[in-house]
Amino acid sequence: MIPTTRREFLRIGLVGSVASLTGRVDRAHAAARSLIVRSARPQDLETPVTSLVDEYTPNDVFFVRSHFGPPVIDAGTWNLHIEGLVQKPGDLSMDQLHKLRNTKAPAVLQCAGNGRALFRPKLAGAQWERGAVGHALWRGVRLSDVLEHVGVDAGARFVTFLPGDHPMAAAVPKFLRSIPIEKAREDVLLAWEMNGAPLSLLHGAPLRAVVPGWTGNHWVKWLRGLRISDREDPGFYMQTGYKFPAEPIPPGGKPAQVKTVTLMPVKSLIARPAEGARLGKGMQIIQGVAFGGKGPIKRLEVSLDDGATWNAANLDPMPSLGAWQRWRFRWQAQPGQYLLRARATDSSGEVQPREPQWNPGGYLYNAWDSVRCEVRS
Amino acid sequence: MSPRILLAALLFLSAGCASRQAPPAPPEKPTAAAQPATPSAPVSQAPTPPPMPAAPPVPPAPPAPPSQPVSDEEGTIAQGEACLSCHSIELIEYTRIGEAGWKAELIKMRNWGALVEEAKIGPLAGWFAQHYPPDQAPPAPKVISAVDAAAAVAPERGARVIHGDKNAGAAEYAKDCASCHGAGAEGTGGGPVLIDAPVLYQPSRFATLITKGQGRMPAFSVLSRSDIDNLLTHLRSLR
Repeated sequence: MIPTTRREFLRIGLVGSVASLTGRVDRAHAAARSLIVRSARPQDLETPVTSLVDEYTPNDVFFVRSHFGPPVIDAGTWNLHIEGLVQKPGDLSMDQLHKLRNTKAPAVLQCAGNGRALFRPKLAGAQWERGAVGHALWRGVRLSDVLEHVGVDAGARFVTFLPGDHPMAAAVPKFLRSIPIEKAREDVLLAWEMNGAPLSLLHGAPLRAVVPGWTGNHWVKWLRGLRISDREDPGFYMQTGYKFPAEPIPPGGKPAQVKTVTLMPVKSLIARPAEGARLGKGMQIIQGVAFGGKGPIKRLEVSLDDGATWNAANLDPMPSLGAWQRWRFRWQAQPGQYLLRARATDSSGEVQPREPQWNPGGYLYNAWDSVRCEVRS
Repeated sequence: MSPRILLAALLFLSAGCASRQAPPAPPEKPTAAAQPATPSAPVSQAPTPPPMPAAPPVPPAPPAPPSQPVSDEEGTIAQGEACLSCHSIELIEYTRIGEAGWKAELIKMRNWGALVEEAKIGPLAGWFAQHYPPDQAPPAPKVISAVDAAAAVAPERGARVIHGDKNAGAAEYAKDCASCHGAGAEGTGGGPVLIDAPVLYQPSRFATLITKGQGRMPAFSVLSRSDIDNLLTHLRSLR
């Protein structure tokens, strides 16, 4: 699950605590700040879940998902091309975008397939475990302001993001995603900055979509343009990919009807302790994050006994829709073996389920999170 | 470079560009993927999912009868041909989906240009299922620092300035490259897309790829520095 074996984790933890006493944290810091390689080419890199403890996930441990390889785009000559049902089609330069009202928003970016490797039966696709998720402060321009600037026709119903990356081969469909115009006008950003730094190539430079509350497949990177139209894109990635059973199906089953993956379901993760950790008895902090697309998380509970009994954790408030909330639980740990669990409940009353909703694409895994640990006597 | 990619590179170095027939490879050592999980493996595994009685683990599939089973050498070569132009090995070796799952993937990827004969899909699915058994844990994943991850795609210093001859580059491209990468470098199952590719701004890595080859990409050791600059100039002009 994490790049480290238990022994390595303990070593890092040990080095970290000794080093912090002496002020030499660099090596331990560097060792802990790695990404897990799910695919080297193109790069699919997972954040070790133990790194998900900050309000904003640092850029150097932020997970990377690439459908195809990143395109090298010359920011100097780059324009955002706008076409379709608009009054002023054409190109907007980065300078013109910067001149529109720009804004900052915190938002959770989670791959639709985060947790795919945890489904049984197993599924094809990037074998993400728990860490294809992160939280950043994004800066950019509101898509609603861009749409207002170009003047959208009355018949417009969808915005399709036109990406700059190229499929590996001519026969492979382009990665085209559409969102409804209502969502486009609600809270979507076109971002050039991530956690105060210019967007890096791996994260979508020069411009990417930020679609709060929705899965990462909508957060198109390396944007080259927008198509405004009366229908969603007819291609593979809208019509076949990123579909979820309309009604629950048994594991391994085939859905009769499907719907598009959009909102992230309610979810929490235990960042620490790490899987397989050996802890000393006494006060321990169990901590993590919780998020969901439907609304703020209202309750976070931790179980020390695989869900037999639950305890309320201390939960931060949600600063704005689409942000994550950190939580922590102070635990007077007694010696023994534990299967820790976390579950979140959102403002609509939706509770993180014990079992994931198995689906053929391996999307939207949100079962109770789970960490095994030992408390030594 | 993984041993398998190296092996495939060596095969194609010796096979040359014109030939698609790779000679039989020496038997490959069993990889970590094929070995039983080490005792410490469960600790680094994903949290054990809650028991799901409806979904027993898929038993390892036997090689598909009635077709001729695929030998380890044939499977390794076919994997290089069908998969490794576009995917690196991790994605494949972490995928533990059994024969039916592999068959579906091979069909999907063949439709997207993967170099695999239709008749070979069944036997190859059996090989993948056996080589990457669903009931065995994949090898522990590699890790990479953000610096190294960024460097893999970042332009090299001074990479923007190349003084090549675009027309000469186009001619060289048509002669040696287009058969695999496509006439407009749009990519085929035999060679990936090159339009806007980061490697076009990594001239020293690009030169190494050309002169040494990689995977099913043969080495073009006769090409000079200026030939390579011409190629880069042509490729950078494509949209």
